[in-house]
Amino acid sequence: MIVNCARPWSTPSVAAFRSWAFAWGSRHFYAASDEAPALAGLQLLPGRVRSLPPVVKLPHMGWNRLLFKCKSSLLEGVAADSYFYFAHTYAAIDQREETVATCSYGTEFVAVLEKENMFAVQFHPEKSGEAGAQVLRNFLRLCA
Amino acid sequence: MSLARRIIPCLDIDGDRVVKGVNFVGLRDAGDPAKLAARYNAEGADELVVLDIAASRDQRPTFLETIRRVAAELAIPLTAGGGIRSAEDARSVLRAGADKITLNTAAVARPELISETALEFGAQAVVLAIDAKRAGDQWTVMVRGGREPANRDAIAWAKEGVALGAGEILATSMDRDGTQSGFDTALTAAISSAVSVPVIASGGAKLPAHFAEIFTNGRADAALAASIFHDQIQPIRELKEFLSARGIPVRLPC
Repeated sequence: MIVNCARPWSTPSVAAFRSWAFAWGSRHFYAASDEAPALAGLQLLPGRVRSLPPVVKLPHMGWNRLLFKCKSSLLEGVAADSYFYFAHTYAAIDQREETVATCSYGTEFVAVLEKENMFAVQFHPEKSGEAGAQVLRNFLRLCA
Repeated sequence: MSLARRIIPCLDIDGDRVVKGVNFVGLRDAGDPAKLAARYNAEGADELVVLDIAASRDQRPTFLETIRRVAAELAIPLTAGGGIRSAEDARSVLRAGADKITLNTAAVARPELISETALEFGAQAVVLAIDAKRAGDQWTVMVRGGREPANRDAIAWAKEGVALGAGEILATSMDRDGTQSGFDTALTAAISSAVSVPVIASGGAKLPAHFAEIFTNGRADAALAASIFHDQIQPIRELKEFLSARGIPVRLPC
């Protein structure tokens, strides 16, 4: 199931845990976010979601490319020069082992993460044309 | 690596049909919204805007149904506006399938509408649409479909709108709209320099060179046009290839 809730804290993402799946803000995976400092995250990942630096126009709005970091199940069959649609101001800046792709806008931030059966993307796959459709197909296959 | 400049076809909607006029008047039928949306989605448009130009209460259900039909055809973002007077109106437009709303006349009348919608739906969902008309060496804001002056400076209004929470500015030149004489570079550059959010330039597009100019000297983040796309005067793929060859980052359709 893909849910794209239009709320200020909804950095779009796709996530799967074992047999069930949902789309939600990737910030929910982390311990905390500057976008809603009073609320704790799910703490599935350590770290904090922060604002992109105001050296660029914010929100980060539009189509951008990824920097592939390592082999990714979610990005299988996705061309390296594909564009994805982003619409956000906040992001996970600190990269760790679960980062499989980043994007650069003002700074490098986590665009795709995979850890065991957990998947999250910062862009809107459902608004990202054919490249986004490929990510969703991969996700559904991983959930099956 | 950099953010692609966006090419955005705009559908001016009257009821359930696409219409197009010159300088906001002289409307003529330009097709079925869902059919045009499907074509633009396939041709590599980066986003689509639908504007309810009638913006009347009576026609609201028809416009919402048009948004649903258009959204069903798209795998790209959809922005919808015209006649949004409250957070409730905004919610119904977003629920119908739009990703962003545009605010115009109602925000001029009651600027808090910008902060109310930005708080509820996020700044990324709120586009402030400004219809600007040149007045000497400045631009004045026009409302009610460009028919009435609002006694506001367009640059100052853009800054105020962003301070209130608008995540994007859609700047339409009333002087250029429908004339196909090129975007208003000075207006767009002035707004883009004044605000920290992305700016969509609108009004006057015809030639690929007009787009190259607005993305460079005009400092636009996105460019919107209607009739040149509807009438197939300018295929989107060719336009993007033209821009790409000039070093302007665009998403080339596969």
